[in-house]
This record gives sequence, structure tokens and C-alpha cells, in this order.
Amino acid sequence: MKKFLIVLAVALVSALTLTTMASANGGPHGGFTPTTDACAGCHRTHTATGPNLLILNSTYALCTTCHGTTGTGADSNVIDGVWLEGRNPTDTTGDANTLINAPLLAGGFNFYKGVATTSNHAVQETTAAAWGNGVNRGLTANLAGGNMNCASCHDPHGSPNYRIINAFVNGVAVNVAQVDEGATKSYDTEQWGAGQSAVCAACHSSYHQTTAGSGSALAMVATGGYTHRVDMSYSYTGPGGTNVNPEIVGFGGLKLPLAQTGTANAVVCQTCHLPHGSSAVMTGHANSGALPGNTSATDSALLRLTNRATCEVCHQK
Amino acid sequence: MTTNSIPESEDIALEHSVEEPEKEEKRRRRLLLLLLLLLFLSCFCAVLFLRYLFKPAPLPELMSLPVEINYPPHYLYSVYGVNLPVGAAVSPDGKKLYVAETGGDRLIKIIEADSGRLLKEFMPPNTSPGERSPVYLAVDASGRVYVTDRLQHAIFIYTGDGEYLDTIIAPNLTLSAYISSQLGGLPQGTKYLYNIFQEGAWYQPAGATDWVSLPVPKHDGWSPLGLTITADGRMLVTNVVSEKSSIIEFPASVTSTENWTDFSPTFTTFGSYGEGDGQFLYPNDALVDSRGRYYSIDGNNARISVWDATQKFQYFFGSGTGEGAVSLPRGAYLDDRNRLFIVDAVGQNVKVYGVSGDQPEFLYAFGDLGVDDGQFNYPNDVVLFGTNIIYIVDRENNRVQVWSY
Ligand code: HEC
Ligand code: HEC
Ligand code: HEC
Ligand code: HEC
Ligand code: HEC
Ligand code: HEC
Repeated sequence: MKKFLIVLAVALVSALTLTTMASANGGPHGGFTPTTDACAGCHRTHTATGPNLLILNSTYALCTTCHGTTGTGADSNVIDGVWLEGRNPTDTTGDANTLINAPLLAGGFNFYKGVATTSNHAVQETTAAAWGNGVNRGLTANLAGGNMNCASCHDPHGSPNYRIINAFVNGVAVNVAQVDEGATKSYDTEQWGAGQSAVCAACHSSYHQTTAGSGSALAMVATGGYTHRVDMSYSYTGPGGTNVNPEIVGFGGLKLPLAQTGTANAVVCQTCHLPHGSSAVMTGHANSGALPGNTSATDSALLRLTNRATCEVCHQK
Repeated sequence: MTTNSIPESEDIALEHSVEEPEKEEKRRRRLLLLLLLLLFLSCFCAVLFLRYLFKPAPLPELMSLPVEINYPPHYLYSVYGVNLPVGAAVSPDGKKLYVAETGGDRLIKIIEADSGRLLKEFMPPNTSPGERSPVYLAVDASGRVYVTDRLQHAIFIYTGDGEYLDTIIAPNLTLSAYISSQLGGLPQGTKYLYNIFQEGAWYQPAGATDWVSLPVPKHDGWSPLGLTITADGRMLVTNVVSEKSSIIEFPASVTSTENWTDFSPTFTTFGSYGEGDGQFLYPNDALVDSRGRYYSIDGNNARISVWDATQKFQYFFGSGTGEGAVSLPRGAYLDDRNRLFIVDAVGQNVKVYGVSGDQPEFLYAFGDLGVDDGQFNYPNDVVLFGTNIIYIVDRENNRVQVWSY
């Protein structure tokens, strides 16, 4: 009976993954053929253990077995936030490649750019309470699937979404296609489209304000905290800097990425935030320890840049 | 719920037999047999004892059991006080255990093998925890310790006591050789440092207090990960650099040399990146058996590939499902009795194969998923001292387990 169930599960999953896979997924994730070999890296092949076959004691421990600091099974080291190899595949000269150990697009959980992180998403399955999860900003409510781990956001079996983001996050359907460079994965530039805000909004719905003026004082009072409008286009040319690359906002050497949406590129949550963790330093008046989400006075709320540099890149003052 | 039917006690009580002379005779015969057996056993023990007196050696060696009648080892004890350990090695005398950590400050710890006492901890000089990731280790015949570092893309070499000696920063370049080439020779007492994150190399002339910087040495896109030093001193390194992955075999001169200031070994490479025959994805170790055959522990392809002594690909094993199949093979060790020990990180056990014949033979697996004694939680490496003491690095349980036959 157990064996039959396992075989059924395997058949179902392979059928599902085979039919829904739009693009080739990285590493051992998806693109499975109807053999069970492809599952071995994450599931035990030892049939005698029966029901244990699919039981993983900790998703975080499993993922970091390959994506951890040792890079023993992947080039992306999400703990230190580095891509371990050179990222220029056309470089055949063998020259010292300055891109070795370049920062990961998603940030890092323990370190980022060589510095200990000042905030990260709690993926060690210890917390389920998310800010603005169907409740006002500044309040928390538990996620539908229990404590958060890597699989809350990523589907280890592959998905048609960018970076194998789950088709359903926290029970909400999410659609983030990979843009640029077709199906080719390049981990050196963001390849997400406008749907990227929806990933965050699946767990922080009340932060997803898309109407003009939603960052004004009145809205703040009404919904319980500061939020910035997202999913609107941004372009800037003027004194103090130019928006040279339409997908990157730059000012004084600082840069923020925009989502590619054709002609006018959009501001999304990830324009200001990193999804894994950040080592940005918060001091002085930018230190908002008392605000929700900030577990300590130096918590950087996953922001990409130090202090309020995040604001200055666009509101060049 | 199912209940087993147990025979009622009254049924048994009914059976009563009467003493008969025939039975008495039988019992006497049985006693005699037992006595003879005891005599034989004590003779055997006496012979073993005499042999031991002339040539002391552990029991399994004295008995020289053939591999075929092998049995799984048993759990002895654990060494705690290590934070997310991933790799281990033992000193030639078996007294010191070296363990590489990925948690906390990511140190390499020297532990007294008998007592589990921490003797010393060390790390690549001039690096902060976020800049280093010691993974696998090997010890050469003179007790020097070699440690691969995935973040530094290098192999660091230390004395048996953890004093820094040198860094192999490319297959044909060491730090001391680089400094020497830049300075036109390396005066005695010169110190040197390297940190890939700081884009440069530094040296300090003997007696000086300031460090002088030199341009970045060429690191040639190599990523050493798995590391083995064979009984005859050759060094096998798995290079996992994307797309250019290979196994590199260094000659014995690399591990027998006094220093590495003059470094131009004639190394050979074999295997490549991929899923086909003779290829691998993130090989975590490479080994050589007594017949000179090579093994790659092919992590992400969930198999072990074999090359002959001329580095020509032969076959792979351990893939698929069932008893002898591996899920995510990582660190491995080949002992003097041609037993291949492979840690299966996701299988949560150690699998042992006999590799003395033409084809590898799966012998047994030991351990299971859990946090109790003898259970594993993402184990990552295995190393033996002799053929009897087995150390298994039990990552998520923050310990090194010690097993024995
Ligand atoms: C990269 C690692 C990885 C690979 C490869 C992998 N799985 Fe999984 N699998 C997981 C994780 C992690 C979970 C738990 C998911 C969760 O927490 O939501 C899981 C859960 C499952 C489940 C339980 C249902 C579910 O989705 O939660 C089934 C069935 C399953 N996997 C089958 C397979 C099959 C069949 C294959 C090979 C075709 C495979 N897996 C390959 C990591 C993997
Ligand atoms: C809150 C959602 C979330 C969680 C939780 C999360 N990730 Fe991610 N991850 C993302 C997003 C979004 C990206 C895409 C980043 C980009 O390209 O800008 C990403 C990217 C990645 C990448 C690609 C490398 C890169 O940065 O380009 C890897 C690998 C990865 N994540 C692994 C993990 C692992 C392992 C965990 C658990 C330890 C984890 N993620 C937890 C959202 C998440
Ligand atoms: C057996 C090793 C292994 C395990 C276990 C593993 N991964 Fe991966 N993963 C890889 C490899 C290899 C890649 C290809 C990119 C690279 O080298 O980092 C990859 C790529 C990814 C990517 C980027 C996918 C894309 O579309 O570009 C994400 C996200 C990711 N993994 C998340 C996870 C999560 C979450 C887990 C745990 C459930 C996990 N991985 C477990 C090996 C692994
Ligand atoms: C699977 C649900 C989920 C998704 C998706 C998600 N979050 Fe979160 N987030 C949480 C939870 C739970 C917490 C609270 C625990 C913690 O700090 O990690 C949190 C905390 C945060 C915090 C406060 C962190 C701190 O330490 O100050 C920020 C900022 C944040 N999320 C931003 C984002 C952004 C931006 C995205 C999209 C890239 C996102 N979240 C996607 C669940 C989620
Ligand atoms: C990616 C560019 C970008 C960044 C970064 C940015 N803003 Fe804005 N901001 C805009 C745009 C575009 C608008 C106009 C929104 C609209 O149409 O309502 C805006 C509007 C505002 C407003 C006016 C209130 C409203 O919604 O009408 C305030 C206040 C504001 N931003 C504050 C900030 C602060 C504080 C930060 C740093 C945390 C910041 N901004 C970062 C682009 C940006
Ligand atoms: C213009 C930049 C910007 C954008 C875009 C943005 N945020 Fe934030 N976010 C911030 C800043 C700044 C903070 C820190 C608040 C503070 O400390 O005052 C923050 C804090 C948070 C927090 C932590 C809880 C809190 O209220 O402090 C969450 C959760 C969060 N943002 C989610 C989101 C989500 C989800 C999106 C997209 C829908 C988003 N943010 C878009 C700048 C931004």
C-alpha cells in the first residue's frame, strides 16, 4: 500500500512537472524525465524506509546542503549571498575573473557583500507571522502553510515562474515570468518582470498599494503605517544623474533595479528590498527601530541601500 | 490495529514429560560436545594471544577476515562542540582529528581523538568568517594538513598544529611561488597572505612590521572541493568550477616537498562537467583503489563513476533506487582493505562497497535519519583511522560520530 502510494506520488509529480514546465529550471530542479533518479538528490532512494521517503526533517537543511556556504552542490551560496563562480560564460581567456564571488541578486541570509546581515527573511522554520498578511501594515498574521522556509517561496520541483518561485505562495496564485535573454539563465542581472511585486504581496498584501498618492500621510494613518506606491513606472533625466539603463535607476554610484515592462519600467517591492537578506547599515534618523518589522534598532528591513539612500536614488535631493 | 494471538499459558502447562534414561544419555553427549567446543575456543584464543604477543595488532587484523564475510560497524561515541561540521581528517598517528566547520566562525578544529578534547582552532589567515568556507581536508605522510576552501577558491596548507604554511591558488601556482616570482626569490622568514575578497596578495619581509601589497595573482578559474592524499602521496582534487569541472591528479612530489616555493607540478586531469559517461556534477571527492582505479563521488548525479588506472572511463554505479543506490553522495574514504565508504547526505547513512573485485559490490549501509546516538542528520564526510575506527561528520547534529568494527 505504502509502495503504491509512493509510486502514485512519483507518477503524479513527474506528470505535473513535465506538463507545466515552460522553461528549463536550474540544477536538479525540474526538467525531470520519468525516472526516479532525478529525485534522489533531495529524496531518499532507500525504499525500505517507506513513508520516510518523502519526509525531509528540515527544508532549510536540505537546501543549504547544496546552496550553503560550502557550495558542495551549487554555485549559488545563499548563506553568504555570493555566486561562487565567474559569471561571464563567454570568457574563455582564463583570466582572473573579477566576477568570482559576486553578490547574489537575492542578497544573503547570513552575510551579504562580506558583512553580517542586518535583516533577513526567517527561513529556518521558526516564524510564520508576516507583516500585513491580510491585516493592516504594522500588524502580523500567520502564513497559511505554517512556518516559513525556502519552499514557501520556491518550488524545488521546478516551476514556470522566474527562479522557480512557487505557482502558489501562501495560497495566492503568483505569476512572474522571466524576462530578458529568453530562457537563458544569467544570474548577474535581474530578469524579473512586473509580476515581481505579487510575490511579496502574497504574504504582505497590505503593502501592495498601487494607486497614486498611496504613500501620503492620510493613507498612512488609515492603514497603520508607511508604505510606498509600487507597480508605477519611473523614469528620470535631470541634474544630479540620469536614468541611463532603463532597468536600473542610478544616482551618485548607487543603483536600484526596476522591473522590465516594455517601454516604461516599473517600481516593484524588489526595487527597494532584497528577498533573502541585506547587510545595509541603518543609523541616525534612518534608524527606525520602533517601527513594525524592525526587530532591532539596526534592522535594515531587507533594504538594498544604507540609511535612506534607497529614497535618494529616485528622489534625488 | 492488529492483535497477535498469543498461546494461552494453560496449553503449555499441560505438556509434562517423564524422565527417561535415553534422555539422560542425550544430555551427557550434549555436555561433552559443549566441552569440546569450549576447548577448541580456548585453544583458538590462546593462539591469537600468542600471535598478539609477537606482533600486536587490532583483533580484526589478526583474524584477517575476508571482505565477503563483512559486517556493519557499531556506534561508539560522539565528539561534540563543532558547529555545522562538513569535513574531517585524521593525523597519521591517529591522535588528532581535524574538523572543518561551516557554522559560527567557520574554523578548523584540532580535536584529541581519544578524549574529544579541543586542542586548537585555526583558519585561513587574514579572513573574516563571511570570507572563508573550509570544506574538505587531507593529511600528508608528514602530518601537514590541506584544506579546500570554496569561498577562497584555494587549498590552504598548515602544519599538523595548524600553523599556516602556504596556499595553492591555482593548479600550477602557490602563494609563496607567486611572491617569490614577484620578488625574484623568497628571502628566509618572509611572511605572506592571500584573500580572494581583498583582490591582492601581501608579504612581510623578515623582521618588518608592515605588509607590502602585490597585484592580484591569476586564479585561473579553479574551484577545489574534494581532496584526497593517497597512500603513495599523490593528491586528487575535484575541481568544480562551472563548465570546466575536472579531477586533477597531482604527483606525490606535491605532498612530500619541504615547501611549495618552487611549484610547477605535472598534473593530469580527467572527467568533465555534465550528466553523461565520464562526466560529473559537483564531484565531492575522488579516490584511488589498490588496483589504481579512480572513483569520482558524483554528488548531483547521484552515482559513483570509475576510471581505470590510465584514466579511461569504465562505468558508474550506485544510481537508481534500491539497496546500493546513493541519493546525494558526498565525502568518501577507501581503506586498506578496499572498502569504499561513502556518506550519503540525503540518504542519511554511510554506504560501504567492496572494491577488490572487478565490479564493486554493495556490502551494507549503516545509520539512519535522526538525532539519537548512531543516527545522522545530513552527514557530509567520513574518514577512517586504520581499518577499524570510523569518523563520520554529522553536520546538522553538530557532532562527529565515532564508529568501530
Ligand atoms: C531540489 C530538491 C528536490 C528534488 C530534486 C525533488 N524534490 Fe520532492 N520535495 C522537495 C521538498 C523540499 C519537498 C517538501 C515541499 C514543501 O515543504 O512544500 C518535497 C515534497 C515532495 C512531495 C510531497 C508533496 C509536495 O509537493 O509537497 C512529493 C510527492 C515529491 N516531493 C516528489 C518528488 C519527485 C517524484 C521528485 C523527482 C521527480 C522530486 N520530488 C524531486 C525537494 C525536492
Ligand atoms: C520571501 C521569498 C523567498 C524565500 C523565503 C527564499 N527565496 Fe530564494 N529567491 C527569492 C526571489 C524573489 C529570488 C529572485 C531574486 C532576483 O533575481 O532578484 C530568489 C533567488 C534565489 C536563488 C537564485 C540566486 C540569485 O539570487 O540570483 C536561489 C538559489 C535561491 N533563491 C535559493 C533560496 C534558498 C535556498 C532559500 C532558503 C534558504 C530561499 N531561496 C528562500 C525569494 C525567496
Ligand atoms: C542537490 C543539490 C541541490 C539541492 C538539494 C537544492 N538545490 Fe537549488 N539548485 C541546485 C543547482 C546546481 C542549481 C543551479 C544554479 C546553481 O548552481 O546555483 C540550483 C538552482 C536553484 C534556484 C535557481 C533556479 C532558477 O530558475 O534559476 C533556486 C531558486 C533554488 N535552486 C532553490 C532551492 C531550494 C529552495 C532548495 C531546497 C528545497 C534547493 N534549491 C535544493 C542544486 C540544489
Ligand atoms: C512566504 C511568505 C512571504 C513572502 C513571499 C515574502 N515575505 Fe516578507 N516576511 C514574511 C514573514 C513571515 C516575515 C516575518 C519574519 C521575518 O522577519 O522573516 C517577513 C518579514 C519581512 C520584512 C521585515 C524583515 C525584517 O527583519 O525587518 C520585510 C522588509 C519583508 N518581509 C519584505 C518582503 C519582500 C520585499 C518580499 C518580496 C521579495 C517578501 N517580503 C516576501 C513572509 C513573506
Ligand atoms: C524607484 C524609484 C523610487 C524610490 C527608490 C523611491 N521613490 Fe518615492 N516615489 C517614486 C515615484 C515614481 C513617486 C510618485 C508615486 C505616485 O505616482 O503616487 C513617489 C512618491 C513618493 C512620495 C509621495 C507620496 C505619494 O505616494 O504620493 C513620497 C513621500 C515618497 N515617494 C517617499 C519615498 C521614500 C521615503 C523613499 C525611500 C524609502 C522613496 N520614496 C523611494 C519613486 C521612488
Ligand atoms: C520605495 C522603496 C520601497 C518599496 C518600493 C517598498 N518598500 Fe517596503 N519598506 C521600505 C522602507 C524604507 C521600509 C522600512 C520602514 C521603516 O523602517 O520605516 C520598508 C519596510 C517594509 C516591511 C517591514 C515592516 C514595516 O512596515 O516596517 C515590509 C513587510 C515591506 N516593507 C514590504 C514591502 C512590500 C511587500 C513591498 C511591495 C508591495 C514594498 N515593501 C515596497 C521601502 C520600500
